[in-house]
Amino acid sequence: MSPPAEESLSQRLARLRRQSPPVSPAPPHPPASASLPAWMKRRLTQTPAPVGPLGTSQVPKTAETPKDLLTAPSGRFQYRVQRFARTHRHGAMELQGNPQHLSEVFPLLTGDPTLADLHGERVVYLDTETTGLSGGAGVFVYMVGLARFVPDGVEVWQGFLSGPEQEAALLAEVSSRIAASAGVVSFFGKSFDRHRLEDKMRLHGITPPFAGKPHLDLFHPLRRLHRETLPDTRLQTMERALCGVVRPDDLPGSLAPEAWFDFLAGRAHRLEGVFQHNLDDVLSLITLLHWLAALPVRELSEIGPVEWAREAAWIDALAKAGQYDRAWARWTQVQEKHPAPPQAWLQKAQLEDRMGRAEDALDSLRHGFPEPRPEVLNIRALALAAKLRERSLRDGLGALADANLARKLLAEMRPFSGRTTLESDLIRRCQRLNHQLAGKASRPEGQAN
Amino acid sequence: MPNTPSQGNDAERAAAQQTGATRGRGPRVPALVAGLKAAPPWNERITAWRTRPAREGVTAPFPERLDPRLLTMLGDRGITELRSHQAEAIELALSGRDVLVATPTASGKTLCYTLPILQRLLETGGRSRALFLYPTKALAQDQTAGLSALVEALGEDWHVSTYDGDTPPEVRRSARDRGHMILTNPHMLHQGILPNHAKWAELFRDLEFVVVDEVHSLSGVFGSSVACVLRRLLRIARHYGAQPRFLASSATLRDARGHGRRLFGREMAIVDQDGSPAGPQTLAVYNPPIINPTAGLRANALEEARELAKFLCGSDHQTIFFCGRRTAVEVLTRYLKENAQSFGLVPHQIRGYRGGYLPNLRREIEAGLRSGEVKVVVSTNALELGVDIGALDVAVLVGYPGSQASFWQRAGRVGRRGNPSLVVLLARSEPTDQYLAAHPDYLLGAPRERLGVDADQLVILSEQLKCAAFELPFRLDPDGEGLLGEPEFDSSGMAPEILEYLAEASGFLLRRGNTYFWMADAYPAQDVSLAGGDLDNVLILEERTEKALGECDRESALTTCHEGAIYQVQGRTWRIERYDHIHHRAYAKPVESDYFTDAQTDTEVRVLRLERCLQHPLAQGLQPTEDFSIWQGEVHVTTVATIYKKVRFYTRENVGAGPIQLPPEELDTESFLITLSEGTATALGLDQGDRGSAWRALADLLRRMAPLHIRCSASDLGISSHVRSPFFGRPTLFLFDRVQGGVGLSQLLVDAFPDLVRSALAVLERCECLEGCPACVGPRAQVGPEGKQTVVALLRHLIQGQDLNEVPVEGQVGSWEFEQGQEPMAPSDFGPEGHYARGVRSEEAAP
Repeated sequence: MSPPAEESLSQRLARLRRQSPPVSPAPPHPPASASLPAWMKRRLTQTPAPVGPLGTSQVPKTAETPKDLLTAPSGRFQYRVQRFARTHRHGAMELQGNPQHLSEVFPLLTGDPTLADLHGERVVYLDTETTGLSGGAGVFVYMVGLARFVPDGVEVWQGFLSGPEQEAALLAEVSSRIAASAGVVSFFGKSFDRHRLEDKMRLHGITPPFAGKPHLDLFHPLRRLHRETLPDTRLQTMERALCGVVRPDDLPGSLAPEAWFDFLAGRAHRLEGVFQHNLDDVLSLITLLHWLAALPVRELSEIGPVEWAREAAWIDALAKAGQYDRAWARWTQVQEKHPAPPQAWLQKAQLEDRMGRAEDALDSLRHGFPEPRPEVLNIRALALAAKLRERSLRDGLGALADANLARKLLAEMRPFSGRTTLESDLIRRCQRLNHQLAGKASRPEGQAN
Repeated sequence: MPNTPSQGNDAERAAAQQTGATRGRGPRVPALVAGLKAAPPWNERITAWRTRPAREGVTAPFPERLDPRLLTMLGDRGITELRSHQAEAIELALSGRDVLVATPTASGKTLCYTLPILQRLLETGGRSRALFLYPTKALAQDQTAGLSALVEALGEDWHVSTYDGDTPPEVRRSARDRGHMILTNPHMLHQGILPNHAKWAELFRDLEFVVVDEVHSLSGVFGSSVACVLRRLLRIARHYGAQPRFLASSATLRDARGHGRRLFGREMAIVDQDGSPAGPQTLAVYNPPIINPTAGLRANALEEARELAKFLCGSDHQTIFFCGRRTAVEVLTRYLKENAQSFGLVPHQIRGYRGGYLPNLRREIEAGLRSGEVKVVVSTNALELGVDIGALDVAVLVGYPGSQASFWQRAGRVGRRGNPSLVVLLARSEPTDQYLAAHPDYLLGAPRERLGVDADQLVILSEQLKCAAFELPFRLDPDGEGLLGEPEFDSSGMAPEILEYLAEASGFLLRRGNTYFWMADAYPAQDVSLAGGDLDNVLILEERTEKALGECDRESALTTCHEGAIYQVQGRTWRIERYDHIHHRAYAKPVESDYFTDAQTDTEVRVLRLERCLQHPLAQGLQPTEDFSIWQGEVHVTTVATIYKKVRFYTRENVGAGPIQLPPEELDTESFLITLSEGTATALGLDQGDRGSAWRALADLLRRMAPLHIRCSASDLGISSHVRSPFFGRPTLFLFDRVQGGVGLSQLLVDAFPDLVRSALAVLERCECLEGCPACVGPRAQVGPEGKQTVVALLRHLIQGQDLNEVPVEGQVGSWEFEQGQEPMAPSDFGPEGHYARGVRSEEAAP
């Protein structure tokens, strides 16, 4: 590859700059003192790192490096800033949310009261790229994407380490950016990104900014709403199903470590892919937040089994927060659009039980479970019926019959999660009922066997 | 579920409580001693009696610096003065020294380190932090309870926390953020705490003391690895601005100062004058009768233990039996349970105890021992360390445990405050045991073992450097020669080169300028075991229910978890139906077995590289020629399990055998070698007839004598012998480290060579047999008619080894650097677990 004949000095310098790998060249190594025995050298050579800077050495070194990278004023790390209009569409949704969709959903779905005041336009949306998932002091957070709303749109700032020695400077900047926000929104960040950042900040003596700051981890509420209906609970599955985001050329997150190791070894071929992946991730955080905030007022026109499961989870959240009437009303509203599946009838019965409407609850169970079957839901319904009859309706014989039937069905079942608790509850109930009935009548008719 | 080990029989337990849950009473011991001395056959078989008289304690006042609140707290516990060694250790610790207290079991070592720590916590208003390392989880849990009680008595709200694999996540969090005293083990420090040091920043910032308990157990690969982990710890503490001091405790050591220096990398202040009082202890050495005078064969030690139990077990005192192997524990437990009635006990009062039992079962047995409900316990070294079981009355050691430190730790398990106790050492037909039967005063003398700790061992060092680089980058000094500001890892001078290899050759690190950064998607501590080998234990499961029966390490699994093996817990038997060696699981089926199994292994050794050569010249004429040489070098060892034997309980007859099909275990390690020149071999008659077995018998004898001179057990060493080695072209013996990478045992063997030969010769000269017996070189059937005579001649020749000259390795034998695969394979074998394996020594392996 010879240089073009007509090339000015500045062009030539620019070309050379592009071609030289972005790593500062290592000084010449000291001559290896011949001290390590040969077997030891062999041993060290024969046990290579699974994924490390030598990992993809068959890829040729490249002059390509990500464009538009700026250097921080400290001169010690790089970053990229992009701005998007509020009307910018990420997938099927715009970045701006409906200000009327307020965030009562977040504390209800997460059980975290500090999220009551969370405002989508005052938080930072956080996503990081790291050199591994294991955690520990040796994992580098080499890219930190932070999005926030600015007057004329959304600004995405992506801090980037072009060498491991820049870590402290980048983390200090990230810490002050997060500290300046009113809260953090992430996906799985409470379990991962936050810890990676905190660990590394403590290591460098930087005060982590997270303590006391509201942090909405979208993973948990979205998982709660969708775990039964989506194939998995990864961010990309969620954003595709809920916000219509499709990423045809996405670099899988699992390649993030390799992409940076390659870059450090002068092979930047995957780095632009990481920037794009990280950008898409933070933008999806914004649209997913809007999607979640709109949950209580979502149109119920197209209800199918998938939406039923989602609505059931929302109704459950309302019920757990003690908003029984609202939950019950929502249930009825959804049922009008689409017949409720059996588990929804069980949910309604539980709700009615809590509302003190035992007869209605029994009715709901009859609707949902017209005939006894050896199925988990069916047995749970019978167990609830037994409880309702015993506690609220004072129908000991009926309760014993339901409980015994439930035990009989249970005996036909293979093990499932929660079986032991269910079974021991039923046994206790039967014993108690038998005891009570034996005390009431000398000849109990519904004797258990 | 009749075969569930953790479930005792309720009726048995109730009976046990009725027959007296009181602990033993001291006066019973003198009666037992009198009985043994008077009654045949015991009085004839006990070859030596020694009594350690009761000893008055030496007391000392509390150091003046101690806070009055501490004195009040101690006074409330009945402690109004200190023993002299305690006072000395506390003074030293408070004056800022690193301290190693090396005194016997039960001398009150705990106070030596807890008082300075509590004092500093009081002085700093609760700012000071301490980290405690115990060799086992059980010990750490024991001590947590004790420390918490002290803190409570002081009225402080300092947090004392155990941190191990069983600690729940929320407790871990509070331990990290608020723990003043963290009690853990070296494995957790290595894999959990150090790699995540940022989470522990609060602890490291004010870390003032690091307590390391039972440091005599830190030798070999484990000790050398822990030495590196401690260096990593110091490095991290320095990063957070702390300079902790070590407070260490140990059983009595031969060279406490040297051990402390090798382990901690610092000069320790040594406290080894025990000021604690002790009751009289009687030591008896029991030598089983000779049952085959021609072969010189003595009665089996385990069977003798069963006989002796009839006399030494009873309902009004507590007896502990120590065995070397887990199988032996199970066999003896079974015997004793079956004979419970004859001791006036019920089976539930007799328990086995060993590593590999599930935690609940162990806790239950420990509690039973403390309460006195359990009268007899049969244990491996699992009860040798400081697990709290209270003090018992009688200890029977079935075989010498391999080191004086172990011996006295075991003996220290008996003897309640001021009460008499009895220790019986039951000699096996092993040369070491027989040597001790004849020289019991060896046991009473000053400790002689050297502990093998080498933090600069290259393999261990390189693995630990990976872990350290993960934790913080390494920097080189400006000229790139040494490490910059890293005194902990700079001692060998090898670190820079290893780091360079880790960067350039294996790609774990990235070098930028003079700094090495960890740069791999991996968590190195996960892949680096402290104890060499593989950390993944094999779980033994009941086949039908998948309920865990126990566990064992990978290496022992080769011989205990193969298909057809009988697995025993508390005297009950299961047969291994399937061993899934990839997923580390063995599936077992309950069976009523009247036999147990014993597996054989075969081993091949290849020389990779030779490092040192010491030569004995033969002065003949003007030009001295070589007589024999000893060497140190690197070898590659391949071990494969071949067959197992079925051995009937009680009679020990061989009732069958089966093949084992498991992949071989590979080992790169260090070896000690002896070669004879051809002239010497001819002069000693080694080139004639069946002398190969005598040459091999010498190797085995040296292996079994080694624990008298270096701290290891015989099973730490493997052997191989060639009458004509394909590598050297002359007679060669190998004694190699059986752990990956080696731990420097070969270096210690080179140094101990003259002593080793002298004591081996002493065994043979003293032995009354004519043609060899298990107590010396092995029976005639194994070593041949002239075996013993040949070994004696060899040893008499080798005893000139004081006059060895160090010679350069180069030029001694052709070319040393063999390309892999080129050098000829030398078939051989070794018996890893004592005499069981010797019967079927593969004849075809003889050269």
